[in-house]
Amino acid sequence: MKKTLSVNLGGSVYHIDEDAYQELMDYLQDVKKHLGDEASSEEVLKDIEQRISELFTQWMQGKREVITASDVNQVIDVLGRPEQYDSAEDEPRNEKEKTEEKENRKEEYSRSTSNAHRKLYRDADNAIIGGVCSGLAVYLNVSPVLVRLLYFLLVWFGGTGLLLYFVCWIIIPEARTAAQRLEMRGEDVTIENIEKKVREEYGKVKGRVDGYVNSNRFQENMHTAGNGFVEFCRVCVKVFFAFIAGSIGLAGFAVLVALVLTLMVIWTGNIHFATAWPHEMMPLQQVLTNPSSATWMTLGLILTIGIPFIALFKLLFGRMLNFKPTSKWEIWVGFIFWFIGIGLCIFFSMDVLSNFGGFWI
Amino acid sequence: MDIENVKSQMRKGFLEYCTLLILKKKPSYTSDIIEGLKSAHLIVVEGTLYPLLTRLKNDGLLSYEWVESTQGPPRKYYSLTEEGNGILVELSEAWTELSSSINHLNE
Repeated sequence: MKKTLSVNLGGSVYHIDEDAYQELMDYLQDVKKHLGDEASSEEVLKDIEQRISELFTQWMQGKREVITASDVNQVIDVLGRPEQYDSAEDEPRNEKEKTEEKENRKEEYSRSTSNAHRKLYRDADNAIIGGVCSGLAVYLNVSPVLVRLLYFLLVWFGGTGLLLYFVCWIIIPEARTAAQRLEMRGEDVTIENIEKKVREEYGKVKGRVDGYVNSNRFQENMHTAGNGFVEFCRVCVKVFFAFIAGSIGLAGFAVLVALVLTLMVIWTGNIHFATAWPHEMMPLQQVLTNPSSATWMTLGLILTIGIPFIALFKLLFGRMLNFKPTSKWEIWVGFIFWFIGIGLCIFFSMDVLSNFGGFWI
Repeated sequence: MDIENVKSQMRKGFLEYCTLLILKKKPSYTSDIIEGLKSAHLIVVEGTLYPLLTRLKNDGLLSYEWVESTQGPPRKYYSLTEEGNGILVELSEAWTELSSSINHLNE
């Protein structure tokens, strides 16, 4: 599946593949450049666009919907590249183009052979770490790969390179401005060259940014980052709740333990720490009017305190330990017994109290 | 001597002349002109013609008419103006002269 764009060619709308669009754009830019700044250039461009539009319409034949790169290539074949134009232009312009071409060629030579005006800079654009090797490579007019390879071997077998690299990094200035970049390559620092450099850089950066932003990778990365964050939040919340549940569970467990101990004290009356209790606290059995009421009291306590904690326990850990979900009748039974427990406690407490009258107060 | 360059220069020289000759026969559209040139064994890419035709038009040698087409956008049909006709006559004379010089040298 491809992305398509809509273009307006000479007043008609076409759907065109993304890559085809880029190619067509580049071609039209080339043509525009070739035609130069004359007043008639715009008209010529319009004519060309209309011809392209006509060709497309013919080739689509109402059946196809999208213009592909191969269509664009065919158009370029038919119309020809600007360099192929056999135009009988006025002599002066021909001369100008020719001398321009010669100058460009000279520039290329000077780029590759003249060292006279080169300055050693760090090439930050092509840098892997600090640009030291790249800058050196440009200065010596060799491939940076070669320089890096030599450097690596030097470090590996000689062991001296690292410190040297850092020294170079600090000493050699980075080629930041366009003028410095030109000096690095030994090109003349003229206004035109600077302008060219700036355009190149802009084009490069824009291309990179466009490419990245529009690429799927960027969107995928965003999604992954977003998902990652959400996952992290979820995990945090889970940990938090687990912590709370754990605390309550622990507390509940402690209470149960205390309850059991209390029961043991009540029943036996002679666990040895019971003697540490204050004197007025007698084992319940001796206090109650009716020994059997101790049993009831105990039962009441168990129910009143135990059931809530059992319920809590089930609630917190039930899912984790895969208990069956609490059924309605469990809930009802639980409540009933709990109330019975409360009732028992109250009843038998009254009983105990009535024995003491003013003793407690 | 760069033979290709010279040949190309020679062709560039009379491309305009050939175009005018074709347009003298009947008003034509770019495609037609290409066909005409092809029949005379002159192969050029279409792109050559657009700047050329526009220039001749701006110089007053040609005029054009918009003709609606079923095959897409309207087309420009070029034809010679009076001035264009005059220039064509002059060019024909110049050509005849050149041609006879070459023929003479070939003897």
